[in-house]
Amino acid sequence: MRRYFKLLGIYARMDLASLMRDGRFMALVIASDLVSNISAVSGIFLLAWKFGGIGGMDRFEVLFMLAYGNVVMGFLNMMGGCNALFPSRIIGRGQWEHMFIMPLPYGVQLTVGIFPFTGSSTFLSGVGLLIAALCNLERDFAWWWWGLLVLLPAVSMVIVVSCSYLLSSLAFYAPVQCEEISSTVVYSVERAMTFPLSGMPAYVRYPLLTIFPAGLAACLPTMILLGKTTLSESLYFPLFTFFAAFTAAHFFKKGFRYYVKKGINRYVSGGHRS
Amino acid sequence: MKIENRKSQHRKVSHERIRLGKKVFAKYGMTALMSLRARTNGGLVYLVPEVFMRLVYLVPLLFIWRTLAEGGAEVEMSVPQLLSYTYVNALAADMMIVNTCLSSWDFDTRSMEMFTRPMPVFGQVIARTAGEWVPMLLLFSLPMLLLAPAFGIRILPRTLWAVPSLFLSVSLGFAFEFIFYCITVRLRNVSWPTYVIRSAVVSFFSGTVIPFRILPFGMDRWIRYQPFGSLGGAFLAVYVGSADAAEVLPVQLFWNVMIWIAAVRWFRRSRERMVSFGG
Repeated sequence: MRRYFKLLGIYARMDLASLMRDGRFMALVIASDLVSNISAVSGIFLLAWKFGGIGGMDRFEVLFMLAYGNVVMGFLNMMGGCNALFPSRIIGRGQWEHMFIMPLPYGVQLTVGIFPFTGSSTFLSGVGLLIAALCNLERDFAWWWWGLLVLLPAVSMVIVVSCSYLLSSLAFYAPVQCEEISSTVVYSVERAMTFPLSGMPAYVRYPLLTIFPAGLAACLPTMILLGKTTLSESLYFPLFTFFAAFTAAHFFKKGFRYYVKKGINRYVSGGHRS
Repeated sequence: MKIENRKSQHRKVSHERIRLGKKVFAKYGMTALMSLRARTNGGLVYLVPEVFMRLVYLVPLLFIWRTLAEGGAEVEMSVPQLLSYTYVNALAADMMIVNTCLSSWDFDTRSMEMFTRPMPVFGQVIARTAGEWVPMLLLFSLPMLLLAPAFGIRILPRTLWAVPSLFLSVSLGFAFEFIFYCITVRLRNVSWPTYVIRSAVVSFFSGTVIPFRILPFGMDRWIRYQPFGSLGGAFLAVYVGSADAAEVLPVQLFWNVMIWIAAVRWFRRSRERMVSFGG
């Protein structure tokens, strides 16, 4: 554990060094991320503003949902910078074999590559939007609500990571074709999570809460936090997360067993990737 | 005699031109075919996730319009117009906001390949990108086009002016690609910020996701005149009849001329600053 935090510190220092080396350039990178985040949420929020809300959520409830999504994805991007969020890239590029020779467990190798300075803009903009939404929600929140506000984004993160790892297990079987499958999944969740699902018909809402659970990354937990769900809906969220994490772990391990037997052949003798 | 000579000479010149035209077409056609094959070299089945993801994005967006309409909201566009707008945007997504290898991440400096081939870069980029569009047009757009009536979506354009409008928005999309590529070159090939800013700015200011007509604070009065407004959003507005072609097309034409001049000039200047990393 001590070694783990030491490694986190090393990565954080390296990230700080990259920020300090060329501050002007890194400021541009951070600014570009901020523009991107604000632009990503502005479309739906402007719609909500114009029509006084969407699907049973008022303007600032919609903003709260968008901010929640930004916090979830921002934290994942910040902590999973070294492709930990996109394992199919590591597998597809034959880089998992590099991890064999490192004297650290895979979990540690994957999670220590953080970018707390240069990769935090999405998270910070999410926190900013969250504060703006909370200031305008005009509600009194119980003391335990604040604990829920920390816990539920963590559960949503498990959902996103599970989806990414579940589909990434295909990269063990087809490394070239599935190299970018995790980015397809993660970016699609990121885009679809901005939709307020409340008010939509069941045949649209349910697939987005089960088969492709983008609704669990922002919409449903937001509704739970706003007290707009039934008890069964509130319980469904952690139960489904547990199921998704278990399924992802099972199939990822199965794929990995196949991989250690067959390996992949992305590198030709000259050292170039095919 | 003289007339016959002239005629045969004229015929010769025409044949020569046709031969040259065929050669040029074959050259660019082959480039397009190469990129089409590159996109599908893993087999068509590997494009299925992308098709699925496009559907995942399209369906909820369609229902947002229905939800707003059912909620009694007063929208400047009719629900059928909004549905057609979103649907056509999804079908022609690649053309609405043109993405080429120039402004994508370019982490493996693929754009540098362009300069090693004996063909103009502009033509290569266009041919290559057009080739990349084909698989999704066949796998996603065509089936969805045929299915549109089943969803109750009007798919026919309100006016045939939509055709030149589409051409102008695609053309402008390519011009912007070269502009953004020049920015990447100026940033020493670090394409991430360019890519992010480009995606963010273009997706909102192009009006492809949320039509300008329904934006609040009277934004529609000015936002349509900015250069990104002549991309996919302008075409979609003409297509569904929410904007007058006589107003939209001159603006599109103006921005095409301006941005292409800027793109060509800046690209010529930026070529000398290009850096390539191997490996």
